[in-house]
Amino acid sequence: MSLIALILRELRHHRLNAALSLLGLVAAVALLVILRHMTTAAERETRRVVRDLGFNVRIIPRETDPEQFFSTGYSHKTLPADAVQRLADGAQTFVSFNHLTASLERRIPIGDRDALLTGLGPAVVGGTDKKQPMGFKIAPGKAHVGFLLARRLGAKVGGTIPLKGRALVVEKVLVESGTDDDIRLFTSLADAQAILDLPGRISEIKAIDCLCLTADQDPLTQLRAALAKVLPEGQVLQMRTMADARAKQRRSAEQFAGFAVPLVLGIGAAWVGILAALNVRERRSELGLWRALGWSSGRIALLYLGRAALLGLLAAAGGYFIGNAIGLHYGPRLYPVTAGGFAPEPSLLLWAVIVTPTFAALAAFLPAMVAVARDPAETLRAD
Amino acid sequence: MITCDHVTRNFATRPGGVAGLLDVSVHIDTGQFVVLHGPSGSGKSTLLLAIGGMLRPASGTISVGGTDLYSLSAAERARFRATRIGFVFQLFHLVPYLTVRQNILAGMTPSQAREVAGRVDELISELGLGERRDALPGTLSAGERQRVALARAMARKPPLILADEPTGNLDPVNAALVFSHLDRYRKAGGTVLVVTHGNDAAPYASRTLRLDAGRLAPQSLSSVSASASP
Repeated sequence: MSLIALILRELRHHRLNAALSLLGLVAAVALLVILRHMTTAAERETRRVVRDLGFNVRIIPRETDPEQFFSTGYSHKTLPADAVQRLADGAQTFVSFNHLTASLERRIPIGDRDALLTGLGPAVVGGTDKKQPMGFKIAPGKAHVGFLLARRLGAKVGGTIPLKGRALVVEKVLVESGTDDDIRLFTSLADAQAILDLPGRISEIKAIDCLCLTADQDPLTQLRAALAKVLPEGQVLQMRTMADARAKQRRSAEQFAGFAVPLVLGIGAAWVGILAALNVRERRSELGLWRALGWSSGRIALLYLGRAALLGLLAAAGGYFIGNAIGLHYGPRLYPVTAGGFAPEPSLLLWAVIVTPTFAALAAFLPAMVAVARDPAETLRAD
Repeated sequence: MITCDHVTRNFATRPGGVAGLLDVSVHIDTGQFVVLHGPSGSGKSTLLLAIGGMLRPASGTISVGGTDLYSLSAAERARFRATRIGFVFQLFHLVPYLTVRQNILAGMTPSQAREVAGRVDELISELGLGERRDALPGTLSAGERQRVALARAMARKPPLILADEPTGNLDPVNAALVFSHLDRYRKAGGTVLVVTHGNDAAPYASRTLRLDAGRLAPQSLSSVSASASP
């Protein structure tokens, strides 16, 4: 009789042990699949939250007086517009910064009062980074109008705002933010440069810092060091509260996964290992018999490890489908902001099919070695 | 067929107690039906398992068919055991999830099983198991189980059969049946070594050995049962 046929008959005979082993493995795989869905969703949601928080790093001209900057909200000095590209070309830039966005800001009269004009360039993200650029893209000739400014001007989507001989088409009226964005007019960088008569100039580069920098590494010092290498004419200001909030959000998701994954693996391994040990104990007599019949240690080990691997294979398929069903059902309720991002991950099935039998065999390894090392005389001796 | 030369094997049993074999030397010829008896704990099963290549002696040598068993590697000894020695145990040791026929073929590769398929069917008929060939051990009587174990030991026609208290759990009728089959095997050219603490095997024995506290009784070395004929 082939080994696989023997394993299948044994599984059928010791149904309870087989069912409990399978249950443990299915639960472990399903939990890991659910965790994968949830951690991916948490990361996605974090990214969205961060985007909503806005940029937390501002790179302004070196000669800017910080007090002036904070009192007006922008730098009166300017940098050449190619500073963004020079920064992006720096070898280590995207280790420290990402989502580089050039902007030009000034206070100008619009209608009968002053308002803020902000021109935004396209965001530049790391070379292989598949992240969506933060902020919003504004095409030349279009404008996004802050809540209070739109109310004062009576601006509506599709309408126009005349400004220094240009008619900017209102693409979006922003919701009330409770910040100075409510009196801001967002345009493309090129339009702002033309309106302000500052061609080829920007007043700052907005960015976010990289979360690989932790608080104990003093992120600001590292950001400044990184900038000094490629853009010595700039200086860095970090919006600390936003940066910390962002870091905490991301770290809490990572910490949960870092805690839960080993816990699930540990419990799964213990569960399978204990059941495998019980199986070995229950089959002591059989084990002695295989020895007496001339089976080698390798073949006996294969009998036990093969059993575990087969259960692992079945559990991989079952756990994947159950985990997907639960993750896709409850995930969107837990993460409603990015609910549309939930989708089955077929690559997880491949992962499960490869890893689970290996994991199950490893968990059963110790009991299998005990079985192999057991003295057959112990169980066969009648004297 | 079997030569044990100054075989010693000690192991602790209970606190302060020691069981095993003490300087056992014996030679058993091919074609003999040897009965090894003695009180419980005298070392009978230990000697049987040592001769079966499953219990390495602390000192001394054991050869079967001219092969020094413990000079072989574990894998070589396992192969030797698979082809040259058949075992019958008091507790039958049948695999609970295999049918009667599958138990008889247990331990064999599919090709080996095909080779002996005809003989196995003959054995099943001879041993009165024809009706039970697809039954699981849990549904068999003790006598039937021991006959299955006997068929398993004989299936590959090993030159030597070692039986450890094969009738310990059987009624007299079934016990006699088992011994008569072992005797037929011996008459067909096999060698049989039976461990028992009773006298029910005496009528079939061509030789009787007695173990006492791990030592072979002196008369064992030459005593030959008058009733048995090789």
